[in-house]
Amino acid sequence: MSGDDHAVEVGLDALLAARGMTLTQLSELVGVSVVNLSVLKNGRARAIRFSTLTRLCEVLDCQPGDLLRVRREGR
Amino acid sequence: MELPLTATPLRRAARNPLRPLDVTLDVLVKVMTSFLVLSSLTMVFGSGTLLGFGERTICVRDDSPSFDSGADHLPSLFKPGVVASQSGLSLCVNDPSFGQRALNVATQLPSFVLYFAAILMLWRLVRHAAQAGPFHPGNVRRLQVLGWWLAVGGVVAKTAEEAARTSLIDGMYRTADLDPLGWFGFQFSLVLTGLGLLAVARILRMGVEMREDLEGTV
Repeated sequence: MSGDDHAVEVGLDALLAARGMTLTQLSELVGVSVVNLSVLKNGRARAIRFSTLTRLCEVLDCQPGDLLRVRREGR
Repeated sequence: MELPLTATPLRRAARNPLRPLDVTLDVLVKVMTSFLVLSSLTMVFGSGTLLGFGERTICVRDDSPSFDSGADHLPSLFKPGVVASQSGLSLCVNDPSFGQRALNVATQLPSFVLYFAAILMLWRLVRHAAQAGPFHPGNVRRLQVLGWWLAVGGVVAKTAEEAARTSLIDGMYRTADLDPLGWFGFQFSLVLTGLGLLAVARILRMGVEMREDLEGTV
């Protein structure tokens, strides 16, 4: 199974828009580089660390399920 | 005296994993290329020889004959209990035919090509690893090619040289006794090294995949 063989979608765009926050601001608050957040936002990430997920959820005041969802066929 | 609490932990400086192989191969490739060019020039314009090319007298050693030493006639060179015997003949042709020249070259050329090409492949692999990093798919491919080259070449080169040597020797006897089965040979160390490199290539491929996962982790 290759690293790209998954159906996880990252809803970072929608959360940022809902919070009125830019990627740069999020980067400063979370302590993750803009490049890495951009990789996550554009769906090019292969994995996310629990520590990153925790910080993102703290800053965006959300749960992991608000950030990540699995795309299902036919839905 | 108290150590400052904010002292950063000591870290060993990252070493180049390719040292000293990269420098060694750079020197080796230059020396071998220079030797090849100089030998070719002396062969073409002088009386030099290279891998059997340019030899005016061809000599080959036949190890099969065995002779009694005639120890009774020898002065007492050896300690009591030592039995002396000699085996093998050195057969030389002063005016070799084209076929004999070709066979003579074939007794030396395959191993040279095998080793020279292997060193060039390793040199290219190390240069690529220095540029692209050790965990790169290109390194896996190059390592696989080198592994197969050594594993297969260790058999092919030895067999070809043995066939040429046997044919050359047989051509010097009045009655030839061709035995193609006796031509087969292989260099165990090379075959083992080649198979080992193929295993290392598979391990490196796993490392490349892990590296890609790591780079894609946020």
